[in-house]
Amino acid sequence: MNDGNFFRSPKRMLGTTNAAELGLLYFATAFINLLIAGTYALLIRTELWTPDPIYFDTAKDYNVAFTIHGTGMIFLVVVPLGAGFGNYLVPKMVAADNNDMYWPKWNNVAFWMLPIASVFIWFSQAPIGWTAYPPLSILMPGVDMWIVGLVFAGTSSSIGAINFVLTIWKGRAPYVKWMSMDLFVWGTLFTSFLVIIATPVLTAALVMILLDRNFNTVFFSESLSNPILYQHVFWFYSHPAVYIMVLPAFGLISTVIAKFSRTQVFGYSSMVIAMAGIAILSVSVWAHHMYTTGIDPFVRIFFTSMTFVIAIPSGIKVFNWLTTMYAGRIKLRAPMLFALAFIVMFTMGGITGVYINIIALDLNLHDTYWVVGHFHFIVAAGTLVAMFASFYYYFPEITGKMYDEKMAKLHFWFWFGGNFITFVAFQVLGMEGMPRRYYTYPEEFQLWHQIATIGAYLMGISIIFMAISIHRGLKSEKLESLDDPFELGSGYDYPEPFADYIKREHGEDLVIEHKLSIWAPAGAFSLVLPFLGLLAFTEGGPFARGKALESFSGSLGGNIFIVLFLVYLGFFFQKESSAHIGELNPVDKYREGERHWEIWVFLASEVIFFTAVIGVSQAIKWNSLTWPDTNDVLSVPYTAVLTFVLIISSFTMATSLEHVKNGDMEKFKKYLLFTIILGLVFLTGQIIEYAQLAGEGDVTLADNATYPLFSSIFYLQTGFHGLHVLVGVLFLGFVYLRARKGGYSKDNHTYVELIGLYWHFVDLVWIILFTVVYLI
Amino acid sequence: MRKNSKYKLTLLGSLFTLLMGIQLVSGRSNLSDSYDRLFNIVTWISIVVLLFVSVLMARFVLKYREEVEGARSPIGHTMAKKLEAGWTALAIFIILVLMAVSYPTLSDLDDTVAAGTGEKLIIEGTANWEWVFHVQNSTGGVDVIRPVVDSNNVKTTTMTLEVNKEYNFIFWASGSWIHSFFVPDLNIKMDVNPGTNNSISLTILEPGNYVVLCAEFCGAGHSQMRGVIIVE
Ligand code: HEM
Ligand SMILES: [Cu+2]
Ligand SMILES: [Cu+2]
Repeated sequence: MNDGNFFRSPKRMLGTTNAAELGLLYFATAFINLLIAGTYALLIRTELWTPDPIYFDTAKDYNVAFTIHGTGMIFLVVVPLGAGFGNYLVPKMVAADNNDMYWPKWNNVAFWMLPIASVFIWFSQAPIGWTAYPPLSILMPGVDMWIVGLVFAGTSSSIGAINFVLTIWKGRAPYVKWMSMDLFVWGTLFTSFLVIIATPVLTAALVMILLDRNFNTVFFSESLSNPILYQHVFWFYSHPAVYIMVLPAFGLISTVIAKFSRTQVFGYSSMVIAMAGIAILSVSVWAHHMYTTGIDPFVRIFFTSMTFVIAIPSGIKVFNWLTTMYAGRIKLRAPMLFALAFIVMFTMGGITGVYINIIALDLNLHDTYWVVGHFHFIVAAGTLVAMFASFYYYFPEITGKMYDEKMAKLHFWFWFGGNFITFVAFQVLGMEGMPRRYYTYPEEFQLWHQIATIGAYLMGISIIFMAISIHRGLKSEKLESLDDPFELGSGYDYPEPFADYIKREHGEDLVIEHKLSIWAPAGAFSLVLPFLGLLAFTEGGPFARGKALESFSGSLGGNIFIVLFLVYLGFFFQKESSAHIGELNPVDKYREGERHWEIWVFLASEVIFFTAVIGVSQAIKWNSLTWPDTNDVLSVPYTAVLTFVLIISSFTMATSLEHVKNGDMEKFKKYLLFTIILGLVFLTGQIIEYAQLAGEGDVTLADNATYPLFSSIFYLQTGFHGLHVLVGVLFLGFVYLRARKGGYSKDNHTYVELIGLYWHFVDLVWIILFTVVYLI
Repeated sequence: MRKNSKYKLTLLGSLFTLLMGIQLVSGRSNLSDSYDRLFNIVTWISIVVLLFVSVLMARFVLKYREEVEGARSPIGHTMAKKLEAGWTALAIFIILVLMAVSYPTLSDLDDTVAAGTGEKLIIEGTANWEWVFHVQNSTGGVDVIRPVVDSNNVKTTTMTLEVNKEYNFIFWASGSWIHSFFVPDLNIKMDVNPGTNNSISLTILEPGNYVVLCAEFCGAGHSQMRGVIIVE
């Protein structure tokens, strides 16, 4: 499919909205990131050859290395690889319309956020570990930038996930039945649900750290609040995150095993159910990372039990993979070798996981190399291996050529051997009591450290073989046919493309067209500006810890970035509001109908975000001893009036929509304007309230506030809501501009409906917030 | 076939490595016995599971690789249904066994934590990445023991405790970092949190030197804050 010119044309690389091409970009980015994160791994292993300094002069440099290695491997290599395969395969596997994702432009935005995230993370040099526990993460340098990078990575995968759900659910061709989809589609679907549910929670936790660092809030302050709270929020995201990585791998590996055994996947339905079970249960096991924090024994019993239960579906999957090979004709090409390695390594990972779920054992093994071994078995020797297997399997389809088998096998043996040596050494080290994240160590651990380092170098070498295999492959002759490049008796067998089906059934030629969009990547890049502004405000620039409030007016760089962003927004509005409606709405007639879907999936992640913010705030409240009576410190009647204003605006919004449906364009515009004005009144009211509170001195973020903890959660909740109102007003303004240019009509008002739903949602959140913040 | 014997060899070699690696960590406190027993049982279960998976896989690879001629008889439909259910049952069974062996030890630690008995001993983790031990002395006062720093900047704090005597370890972070008090030879660790104080009651049953490490990443000095408990 790839005509080879793609990687030579920067304009196409920037602007492509073609999922298959974006998939290639994901692969390329992930591979570059793999090299960087892998180099860090080798540096770490080199350092640990002896207890004395070898490569890193100080412990701090070493701490940076493992932070960057871990964050990079998880968020910039493994998760993007899943998204890459998703982009490349899912539209084909569900015979999606236009052979593309549901939102092609957003797909482009999601991808370009990834290189941005990578740059931020690589350059952050944060020394906090990928888990970023406070108080450490509040006090160390570089963390602002690291957080910005992670928020970009998280947003990227959230947009991607919403897109996958819509593509699979709504973009799937009618003749592709649920229970005949490739298991990878199921894996991607469940992973996407998890991303939508979990990522907003991570964002909330990270933003709270960012605020604690720069805006004087005290969410995780050890004297006023409880830093352990962060660990709950973090693991609520990050345990599902481990399954976010592994579920697509499950799907990929099922296909490879069946193909190279020349059989069908055994137990298809139990595979689907197992994945569903894992996805659902994975949000209820997070505290198994916290057995030694001193949490309540009963809480621990719940989490150890749930974690045992979640191991069951993983076990079922292993047995089914084995049975898939039964009575097959197994061809041991490189993809199959990797797939077999996956089964063994994943089993090792599961077994070692069981140890640390047993509380009595975890009290010894927690935060030792045992845990490091456990998750490397699953992520590096499991998930990544599955990605290698599939990469080789789809290589002929992607490039039209065959990779070099000998080099691929060398890649396999070095990788597999290295994995085994290193990670078994990790388990042994852990058993003997070697804690993780150690720059130096007591001498008796040296032997196993050296064994681990040798294994790591084998893995490093294996990547060279991989590169050679790819290189030779790309230089080789084109294959005659891509129907069955591995001579397995069956090829990639995707369902019939949608356009072919329409041609056959309706005799119509659907034009497959992937538009270039320069505004999409420009949008992604423009988002960098406010964040650079924010970083510039943190005293001393991106690499330091600072108090943004104090230097707010002082930072020239920050102001420039913000102004640039506003200018961009202006241009964007100008351009998009006069664009032809068809360009905004690239939906053909076969896919029309219910479009509320999009906003509901999007709102789902918003609901989770606010649930996290409100939930954490409530938890802080319950734990706090000094909580003010809201009647004393806030002006409840004043806010009641603002609440009323917002409720009215919901009515005007509904009325406005009513009118556009009836074709009364004048009234539609009038009520839209009312809504905007009411929104602005609300925002102004809130600003006045903030100013007043700052004057009174009880509820402020200044150092001498009477109720610092109450103030923190007050500004967190109302501030985030205010931001949403602001975004809502901006979008309403955008819709209004378009309306004035005649952009909507009786039959064409989907966007008005979507923004309307968003507006009602924001109002509803306020009613909840008004209740929990002001009334109780 | 050369290819396959290579494969088998790797598998065997790996298993051997694993078995060599797994050995008892001999414990020496009132909690250690159940730890050792549990670790052993889980290890045996794990070995059985791992062998089962590896052997089955190796067998299938050898028997069904394409070079081997001969007919294959695939699993029939009804058999497949039964097998699917069987695998599910097997997975559930393994987990049930693991639950059964581990649940009896669930409250071991909690009992000792809840006890809160024994001579008070304050374990302080400082902002400067050092352990400071506050130990009661014979005159009824409290000795504050600070670390000795060696040329590699390793800070070692040493205290002497009595064998067979119950101590109530109270963990206190005096700086902003979270630490974790970790004694590998006693198979025990507990986080040292700023703001809240965890504690455990422990009786050490054997004389000897016990190394103390920090197990929660706490910044620059994390790997260099060490201690020794001399038990006499
Ligand atoms: C299926 C894929 C799995 C993945 C991707 C995975 C991944 C991980 C990761 C990344 C960690 C390390 C967190 C840290 O930084 O401390 C971890 C820890 C843990 N895993 Fe898994 N795991 C998986 C399966 C399992 C299974 C089957 C179990 C148990 C039955 C398990 C139990 C645990 C426990 C209890 C911890 C916490 C250990 C500690 O911090 O002391 N995991 N896992
Ligand atoms: Cu977990
Ligand atoms: Cu530490």
